[in-house]
Amino acid sequence: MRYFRIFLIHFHRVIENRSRSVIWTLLSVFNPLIFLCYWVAVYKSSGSMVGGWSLSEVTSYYLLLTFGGSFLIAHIEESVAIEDIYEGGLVKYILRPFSYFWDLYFGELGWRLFQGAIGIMIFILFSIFFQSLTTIVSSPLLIFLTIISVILAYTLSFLFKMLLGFSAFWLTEFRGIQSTAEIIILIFAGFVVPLQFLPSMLQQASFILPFAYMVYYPILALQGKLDIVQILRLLAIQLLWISFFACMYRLMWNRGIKIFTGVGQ
Amino acid sequence: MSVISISHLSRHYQIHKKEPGFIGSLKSLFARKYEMVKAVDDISFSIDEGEVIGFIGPNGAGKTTTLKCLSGLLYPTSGKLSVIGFTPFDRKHSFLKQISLVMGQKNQLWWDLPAMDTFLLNKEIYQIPTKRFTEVVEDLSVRLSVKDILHVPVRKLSLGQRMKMELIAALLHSPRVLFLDEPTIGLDVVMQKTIRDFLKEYNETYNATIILTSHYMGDVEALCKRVVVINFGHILYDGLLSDLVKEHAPYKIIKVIFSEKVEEGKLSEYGETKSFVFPEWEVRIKHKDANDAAARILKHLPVEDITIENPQIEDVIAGFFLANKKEGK
Amino acid sequence: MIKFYFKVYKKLFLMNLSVLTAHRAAFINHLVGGTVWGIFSFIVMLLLTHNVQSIFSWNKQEILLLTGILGVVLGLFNTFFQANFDAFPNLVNKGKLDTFLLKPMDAQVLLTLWNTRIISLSRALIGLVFIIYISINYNLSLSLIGIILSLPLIVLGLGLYYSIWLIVTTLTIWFDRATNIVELLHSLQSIMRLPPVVFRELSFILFLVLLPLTIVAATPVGVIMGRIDLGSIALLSAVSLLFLFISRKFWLFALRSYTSASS
Repeated sequence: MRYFRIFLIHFHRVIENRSRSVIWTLLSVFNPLIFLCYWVAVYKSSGSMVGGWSLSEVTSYYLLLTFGGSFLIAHIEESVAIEDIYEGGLVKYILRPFSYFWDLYFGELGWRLFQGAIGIMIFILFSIFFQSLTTIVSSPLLIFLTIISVILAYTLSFLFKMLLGFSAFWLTEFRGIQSTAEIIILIFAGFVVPLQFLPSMLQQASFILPFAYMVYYPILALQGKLDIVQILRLLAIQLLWISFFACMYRLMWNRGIKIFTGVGQ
Repeated sequence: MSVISISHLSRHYQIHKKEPGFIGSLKSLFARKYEMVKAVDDISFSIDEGEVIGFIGPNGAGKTTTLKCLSGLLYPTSGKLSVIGFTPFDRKHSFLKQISLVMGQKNQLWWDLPAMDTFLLNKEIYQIPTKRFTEVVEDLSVRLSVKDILHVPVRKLSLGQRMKMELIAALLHSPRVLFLDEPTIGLDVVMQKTIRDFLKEYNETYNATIILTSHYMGDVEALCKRVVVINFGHILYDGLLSDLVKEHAPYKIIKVIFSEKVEEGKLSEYGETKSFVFPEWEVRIKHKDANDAAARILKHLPVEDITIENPQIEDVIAGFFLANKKEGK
Repeated sequence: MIKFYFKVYKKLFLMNLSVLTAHRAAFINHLVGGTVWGIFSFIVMLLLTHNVQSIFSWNKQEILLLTGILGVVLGLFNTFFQANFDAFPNLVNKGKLDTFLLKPMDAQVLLTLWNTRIISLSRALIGLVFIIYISINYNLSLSLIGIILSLPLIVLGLGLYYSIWLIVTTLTIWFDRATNIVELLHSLQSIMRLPPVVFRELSFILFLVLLPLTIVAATPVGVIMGRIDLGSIALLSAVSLLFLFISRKFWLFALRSYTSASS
């Protein structure tokens, strides 16, 4: 299938730029590890559970965050906004006989798979270190469903980031909205603390927003903290958000393309 | 009294060779193959105050390395250097205040601000008294006809104007010694002439000692009486440019325009044909035979026009390098 | 001599100010972006400490004060030095260090003070505001003597952080592919947010290695609270002066090896 070929072409480029990928992944691993050091000290100091979580659950959470940051969250918004829209690179995509969306989808997937693999390797490495402290999903059925939710999570974050990039059709300064989105994602996807640790108002907000379903819940699934019913519920909510964003995508693409070509790129 | 004296200067450095590909990178992590590059190898010469020297050689010959050693940027591997009585690499502030190095592509002007701001910054850094500063800026900006754009942001200036401002910035502190590395590179013909005239006047007015490297023989011809030719880190020639041309240009070029068609075979008896595209013919003839040959050509061939020329300096120098290569230097 | 350097810096600062006002749109953007991220780093700390009352000898208020002081230190560092350290590997790669080495003044001083990111002062200001907010919110009584004493300590902390950056970026003179090191150093800021005791409990070796980073902001915290601990003050002073000395010597040594790119 031709999309598989597109994927391979992109993946080849990913491999060529592998050193950049490795450094990038190592850097994104850094912060969760630092937070982990913090929590280890907190638990040692207080001796018991914090926020209803045990130390081993917190440890595996942050270690899995390294995978979360490197696989689950797409990083496509900047190239869409700047290279494609501001600098006009979109033109070459419109002229091609395949869809802009799927081209980028599989391209970005290549990057995520590579960096995600590095993230997993780091997770395995540290699990050997912190052997008694990590929990992970085990039953085959749950593993299967978890993998589906991971793929849906990537798709969800990809859609959202595309829409974010599309804001460049209308805005002249993209950086502002990008920074804001980044901060909101960091907080509400669970990159700072597990959502259960947030103050109640923020916790409520996180359930309504889509970001928890991009990172937080898939990670809980990976930890094995979700039973079958909960995972199915997660998949349903992910599909709901995906269809919502898909409609938004259609809308924004049609409107945005009119503006883009109207400017005479 | 020589202002610059170089004695057995050498500058070597190691580079490591890396094989291409992933295996190569891995290998280079563990066992590196080093190669010794002799950028400059045992050169000696000296320069008196007020001289303008042309330092010529192909790329990688060691010109820039020598200039950088002289200005204190590079530490010599061996040898003794003395510039206005200082050892350059000590980089004493009183030494740096009296020299200037201008490299064609590297700039010190702040992009978003007028050149004048950079000049004022240099005024502070070089501790130039205000009265003197005003005089120098006035003098240089008038000579280079940039007085009215001193307060225009540098990014709005053309390349030529920027070059002029860079030159002023480099001369604000009235250096006694000026090192110029490819000063006219990338400039159009008019600008090249402007810069050359300016440097000539500057040398005459301020008696600054100038070492100039350039690929453009025009620069060297216009400014330098004496040249030092360098290649592969060695000095091949140190003397007057006119002598170099005389010694190594033992031929003249005769250019003929024919009025009728001529058989190419007939031409070889007069000399070495450089090029023949009817009706134009260029022939190389030994210096002493040139006039005779010209007379014979006029007598026996249907000539419409004829000129006798000296060879281009570029050709002379190129020939000089080839000759030295053959001698296995 | 000091007057000379002061005059040069004054001119540099004014030029940086002019450049700032030359790009108005970018200025507002950077200001907003910087403020937003600055506030975010405090939000992170508030979230982390939401369920936590203390970590060993450090109580919640002190942990939050630490973030405030770090904001001030990093804000000042970003303002005066960051842009120059970030640009350094590129300068080495392109051989542009020459311009600085040819000037009749100390190259290290000129280089590290060349560009000033005046906007980053907002980050230091936010740090200050956060400190005030925490003191009021938790009813802390800060000692005046402590506050006055903390000022030279912050300067020493700045000096220590500066010399760490200098040592690491000087390495790029030999390893010119190491531009990623600069990214790594930025990440180290998250280590400085945590009280040193966190690392001591984890691993003593780790604690020792990270000590120069952790004491930068941690030392003034106790002092502001009124606990004048001569031991930690002496430690910060000694480590700071030691690193400043080592970094300077290393820098001078590296200049000898500097082979600027030839034409």
